[in-house]
Amino acid sequence: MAPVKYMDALTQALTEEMRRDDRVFLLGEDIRVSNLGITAGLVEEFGPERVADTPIHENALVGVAMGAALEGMRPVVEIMFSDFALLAADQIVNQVAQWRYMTQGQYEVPLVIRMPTGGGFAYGMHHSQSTETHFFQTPGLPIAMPSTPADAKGLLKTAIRSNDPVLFLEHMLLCLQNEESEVPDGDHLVPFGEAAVRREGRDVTVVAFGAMVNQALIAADALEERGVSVEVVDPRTIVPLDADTIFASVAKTNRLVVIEESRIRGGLGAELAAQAATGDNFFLLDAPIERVAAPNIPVPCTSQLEQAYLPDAATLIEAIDRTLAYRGSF
Amino acid sequence: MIIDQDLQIALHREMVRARVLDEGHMRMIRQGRCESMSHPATGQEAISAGITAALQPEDILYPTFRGYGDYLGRGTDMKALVAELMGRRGGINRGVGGIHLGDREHNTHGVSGCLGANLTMAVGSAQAVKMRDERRVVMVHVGEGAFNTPDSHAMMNMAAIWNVPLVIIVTNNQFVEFSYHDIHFPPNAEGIGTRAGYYRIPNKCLDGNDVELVYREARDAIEWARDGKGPVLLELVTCRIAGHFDADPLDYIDGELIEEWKQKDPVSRYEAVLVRRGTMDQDSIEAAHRAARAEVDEAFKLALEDEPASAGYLLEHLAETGVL
Repeated sequence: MAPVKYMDALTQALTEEMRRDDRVFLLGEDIRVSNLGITAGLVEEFGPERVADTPIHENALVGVAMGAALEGMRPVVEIMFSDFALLAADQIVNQVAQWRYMTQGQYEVPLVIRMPTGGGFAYGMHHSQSTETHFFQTPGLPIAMPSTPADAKGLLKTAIRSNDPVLFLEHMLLCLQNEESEVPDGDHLVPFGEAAVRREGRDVTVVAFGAMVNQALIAADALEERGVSVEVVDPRTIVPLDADTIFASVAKTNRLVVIEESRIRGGLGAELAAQAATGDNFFLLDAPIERVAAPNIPVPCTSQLEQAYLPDAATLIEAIDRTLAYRGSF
Repeated sequence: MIIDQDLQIALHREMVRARVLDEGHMRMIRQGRCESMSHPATGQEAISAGITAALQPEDILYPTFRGYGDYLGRGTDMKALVAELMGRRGGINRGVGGIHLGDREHNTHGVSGCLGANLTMAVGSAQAVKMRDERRVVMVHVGEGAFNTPDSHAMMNMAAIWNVPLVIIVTNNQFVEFSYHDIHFPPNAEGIGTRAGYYRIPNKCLDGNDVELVYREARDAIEWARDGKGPVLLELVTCRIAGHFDADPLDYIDGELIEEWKQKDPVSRYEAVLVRRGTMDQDSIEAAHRAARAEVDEAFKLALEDEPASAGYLLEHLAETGVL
C-alpha cells in the first residue's frame, strides 16, 4: 500500500499495462503533452507508435482504435473531454459496442475509451458535461467511473485486460486533486459490477459515483453530527450495475437517494427508481426516492451558474432530509 | 500480359456467382420468403471478383455492403452466407448479423450499416499489422456515396501520416442511393479518387467493368502497400444496373444510361474475351452459369429447411461476461 493521487494512479495503470502487454497502445489528441498530464512523458518510455498523437477527429480516432482492436491489439483511446465522445457516437454506440454481437462472438473489441469528464472549472457547455448517461442505454458497453485512486488504477487495469470495450470516465476534479489515498501495490484489479460500500449507515442509502462520492461522504459527515447515519454505496461501474449491493443496502435503510452529476432525466437515478418500484424491491421503501442530479439544461459557462447547476453535498443533504422527514402511511 | 487460364476461369466464375446470388436473394425477397433487405451489385461484379482475387488469404478486407461478391471471392461459404441472409441458425452470424456480415475465418472483418464507418477501422487494422511487422495488407471497399463521409478524409489523412499498408477501393457506380451521383459532387470535379492527391496517396481512375484490369491493378496496388510504400487508392468506374435496394422505386433512373451501361456488362464482355482467346466456349460458359444457379438454389433450399434464428440465443455474445 502506498498513498497515491488519483491522476498518478491512472498513469500507473497505463504504464504497468503497457509494460505487461505490448499489444496495449495509446492514441488520442495531444496525449504526448497531455491536457491533464495523465499520459505526459509516456512517449519517452514507449515511443511515438505506442503513444500516438492523432488529428482532431474523435469519430476517426475511435474508428482507428476499433480496427486495431479487431486485429488483436488492445488500444486505449483518450477523448480529451467526455463531451467530445458525442462526436464519436457512431463508432462507440453503433460499431464498438455492437460488433461482438453482430458477428456473434467471432470478434472481440478489447478497446478502452478513456475520457476526462465533468464540471467544476467554468468550462461551459462543451467541456463540462457528464456524458455517461448518453451511453447508458448502449448495449454491449461497460461504463466505469472511478471515485478513488485505488479504483482509478484497479478499474483501468481491469478495463485494459477486458476483452470487451469499456467507456472509462475520469472526473477532472479528481484528476487535479492533490489528496492521496492508499492504492494496493502490485497487480491491483477491481472487478466490474461490484459496488463498494464507502461508508456504512442505518438510516438512508445514498448511491453516488464518480466525483459525487466525495459529496456524499461530506454530506454523511455533516449528517452524522445530527445523529443521521448515511450508507454510501458507490457502484463503480454503472454498466454492469451491482443492483444486488444497492438494494441489499436499501433493504437495511428503507430509504434511497441517488446523486449523480449528469442530468436528471433518464439518469442512473431514474433507472434505480424504476428498479426500486419493480419486483420484490417494491416493498423495501419507507419513503419516496430522492434523485439529486443536474437540471435538464446545458452547463452554463460561469462559475456561479455552474455551481447552481451542479449537484453537491448541500443539495444532497436537503434531499436526505426530505426522505427522512417523510411520514406517509403504507 | 495475359493472366493464367485458371485465374481467367475463376474470375468469370466469381462474377457469375455474385450475380446469381444477388438475383436469388432478390427473388426470395419478392416472394416474401426472405425478410430484411438486399443491396444488389448487378453490373459491378468485375470489381468484387478482381479485387478479391488479388488479395492473399491473410490479407484483411473491409467489404462493401453492396452485393456479396466480396465475400464469395474471399472464400466465404455460399451456404453459410445465404443462411445468414435468410436469418437462419446456420448463418455465419447465426442469423443475428444479417446483411452486416463478418467472416473472421476469411479475414473479412464485416460491414457496418452506417456507411463510412469501416473506413477508419481499416486504418487501425493496417496500423496493427504494421506495428507487428506483418506483411499483410488491408483493403477497404467503399462506394462513391460513402466516400463523401468525413471519415474518408480522416482515413486518407491518418493512413498517409502513418504510412500504413492500406488499399482503398472506391467503386464509382453512378448512383448514390436514390439519386444520380452528379448532384453529390462539384460540377467541375475531375474524378473522385483524385481527392487522395492532397494526401500524396497514389490514385488511379480505371474501367471497373474490365475484370482483368481490376485484378492487375489491385494486385499492383496490394504489392505497393505490402512493400511498405504506404496507402494507395483505385477508383473503379462502373454502373449499378439495379436499384439501391429491393424496394427502390427506380423512378429517378435514366433508362438510356442503363441501356448504355448494359452494353458494357462486365460478365458478357469478359465472356466474349474468353471465347476469343479460346479459354472458354459457349458450352463451358453455360455450364458455369448452370453451376452457379445450382449452387445458389441449393443454398437457398437448405436455408429454407434450416431452423430460423432462435430467440433462445437472443442475449448471447453481447459481452464476454454475458448480459450487461
